[in-house]
Parts: sequence; structure tokens; C-alpha cells
Amino acid sequence: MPAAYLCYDDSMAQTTGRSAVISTVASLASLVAALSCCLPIGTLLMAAGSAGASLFSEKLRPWLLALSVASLAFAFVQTYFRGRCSFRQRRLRTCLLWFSATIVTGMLAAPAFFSSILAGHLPFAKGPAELRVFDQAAFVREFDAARDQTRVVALLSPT
Amino acid sequence: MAGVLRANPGAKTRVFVIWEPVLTTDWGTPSQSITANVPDLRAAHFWDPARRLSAAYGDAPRLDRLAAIRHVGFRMKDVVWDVALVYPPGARWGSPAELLVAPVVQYRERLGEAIARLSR
Repeated sequence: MPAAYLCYDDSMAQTTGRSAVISTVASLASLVAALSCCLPIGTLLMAAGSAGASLFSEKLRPWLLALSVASLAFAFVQTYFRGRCSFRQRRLRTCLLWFSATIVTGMLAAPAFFSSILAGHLPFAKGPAELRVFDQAAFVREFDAARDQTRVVALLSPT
Repeated sequence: MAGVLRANPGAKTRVFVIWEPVLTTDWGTPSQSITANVPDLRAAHFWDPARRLSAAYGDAPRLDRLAAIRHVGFRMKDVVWDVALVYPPGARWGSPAELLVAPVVQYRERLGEAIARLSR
């Protein structure tokens, strides 16, 4: 690429490019943390020995999602407004940015849909069991009806 | 939860999975496909949008009264969530559970042991 094509000098382009990459990665990292209750990422955390994502995600999740959005906005500004000449040439960075944007937007717009995909099943597929609306009286009846067995009651968040 | 049940295929156990909105991203009703997260035939799935079961348990402040043995690895603010309670055969609704673990993933081994022991 001819040097004259660049809008500013190499060091400036490098700095801008680096900060855009950092913000994109920060966006992904915060998203990963924000998604930590999703099953596959939960599994990943388990594998890493830091099980118990609810330890931090309940309080931090809104902030992490906000950080994801802010990081993405910053990365877009860096890419398309400030560092447009240098960054646009870097296909990998741009792909990473748009990938992050897709995931973050998808997670915000359709969290259940994305959680299903991340958990490895199709969001519109019929599950193996019926999902019923909770009715306490019916639940208690079923609970007591199975009293010859061990019973486990699990309260979980869908995403 | 699914892994715990997979590890105890012969255990005579009934599992009640109650999905409830807790996190920022928990808006909207989950689709039927959510039951695929715990696909075991011994599991019944419920969607509890008003978090009635958590309220029936007395919410997080009453957590210490829910079971004889408790392993709680995080601080619940108000809603009871990411929790599994194990009730022995014979226990009726309202009696304390034998074991409470939270978060489930962290104490899945203890959960599996309790299920195996009580279902013998």
C-alpha cells in the first residue's frame, strides 16, 4: 500500500489500531464474563476451576454488558471514524469487531435465543420435556406424590 | 444438573427444575427448548416468572432454614437461585431439605453423592 494512502503516520495508525483491538477484546472478555451462566461458558469456567459464575455475575452482569456496549462503540469509532484508513485494511480486526457486535447485540436483543445456541441446542426445537408455568399448588401435589423417591428442587436462571 | 443425573442413571429420583428470571438478560418467556438443558426423563420443568417458589422458600434471607446441610458459595441478594435442594424419601413439602447447594455447578459432586446415597 503506498505511504501516501495513509491518513496519518505509522505510529499513530499503530496506536489507533491497537486500541481498537484492545477495546474489541475487552468487549468480548466482558461479554464472556457476562454470559457466564450460559451452560457452555459455565462448563468452560468449571474446566478452569473457577466454578460458580453466580458468585459475581448477578451484581456485575449489568455492568459487564454496559462495558461490552461501550467497548464496542469505542472500537467502532476507532475503526470507522478515527483510524479508518489503517484499520479497514485489517480484515481480521474488522471481522473480530463485527463478530463481537453480532454476539453482544444478539445477547442483548434475544438472550434466550443465544443462550440456547451456546448451550448446543436449537432455540425453536421442541425440548425433551414440557415447560409448564409454575403453579405452586400443582407443584406441591407433584412433590408430595413422589415422596417415595429422593427429590431434587433446582431453581435456575434461563440465561 | 444434567451431568449429575447422567452420573446417577439408576437413582430413583424426581427432579423439579424451576426456571426463574434473575439476571438482566432473563426477560421474556423461555422457549420449550430450555428443557434440553436438563434432558433427563426424571426431570419436570417449570417457568416461574413471578419467582413464587423463591418467595415460598422465604427468599435468600431464610436460606439457612431450608436445609440441614448447606453449601453456599455466593451471596444471594434476595431471590433464591442457582440452588439445588435434595429431599430424602418420605419428606413432605415444607419440611427442611437434607442438602442445599449453591451454585449447583460448584457443588455438583456433593449433589451427586447425596442423590446416590439417598436413592439407594
